[in-house]
Amino acid sequence: MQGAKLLDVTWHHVEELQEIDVDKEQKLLMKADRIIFQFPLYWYAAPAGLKNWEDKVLTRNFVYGDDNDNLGDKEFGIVVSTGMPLKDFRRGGRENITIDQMMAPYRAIADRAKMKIMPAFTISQFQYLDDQKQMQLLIDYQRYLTQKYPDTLTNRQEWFEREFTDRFKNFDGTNCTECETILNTFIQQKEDLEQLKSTISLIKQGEDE
Amino acid sequence: MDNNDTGVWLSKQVDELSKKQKAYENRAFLTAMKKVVGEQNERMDLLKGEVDGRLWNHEQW
Repeated sequence: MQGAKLLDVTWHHVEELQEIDVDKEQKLLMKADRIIFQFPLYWYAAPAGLKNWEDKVLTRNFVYGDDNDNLGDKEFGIVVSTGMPLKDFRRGGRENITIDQMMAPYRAIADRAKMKIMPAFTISQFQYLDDQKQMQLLIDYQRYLTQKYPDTLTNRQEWFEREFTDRFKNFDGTNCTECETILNTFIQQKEDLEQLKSTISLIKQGEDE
Repeated sequence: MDNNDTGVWLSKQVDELSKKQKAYENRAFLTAMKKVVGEQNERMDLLKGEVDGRLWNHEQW
């Protein structure tokens, strides 16, 4: 997906590596703010390439040994795609297992490394999605990679504000003035919401007194 | 329900701009942004309703 082309995102395909240079891989992990495993679901887990990489790169000392919290300040996410409908992955569903249950081993590593765990981003039956849903998914995916966690309206607004500022120079059929008006109105809306929230919290304080 | 004119106007502007985009990613970005504008509008209505509701709290009459 095109999210990998985003600025500040390092796309690193571990299955393509001829040889795994453990030191280099560990340094790459340490440089990141958010580490995301992305893979298609093969028999309720990631393909063997990722497991092979994990076993070599995620050494005990690096992950938690000797009081090293090399990854402790990072966030951990999973992007998983499947050809089955999402509704199959629940207790009582056709697969009778949830995505979260399957992702437990990866999260256990992340827990051990004291990373902050993000909810998994699931892509199910991509080819069956209509144009609108595919477009939405692309942007949701880009947000998953770079938006501040958790995914609240406040954080969504901030992401769109920042990205609109970066992207509008490439928009067709518009000029800067028009885009600036849109951006400023969007920001104004965001601030109006904040204002309303603080009004409510003032009223609530008054109710307690 | 309050009629958020600014929000409705903004949603329309973003929608029109998205329709002018030739690049798929720009179109996708603006379509998704329109959805967030929709969320802003919905939240605005809810919060304004909450302000009204709390100000008219009968227990404080």
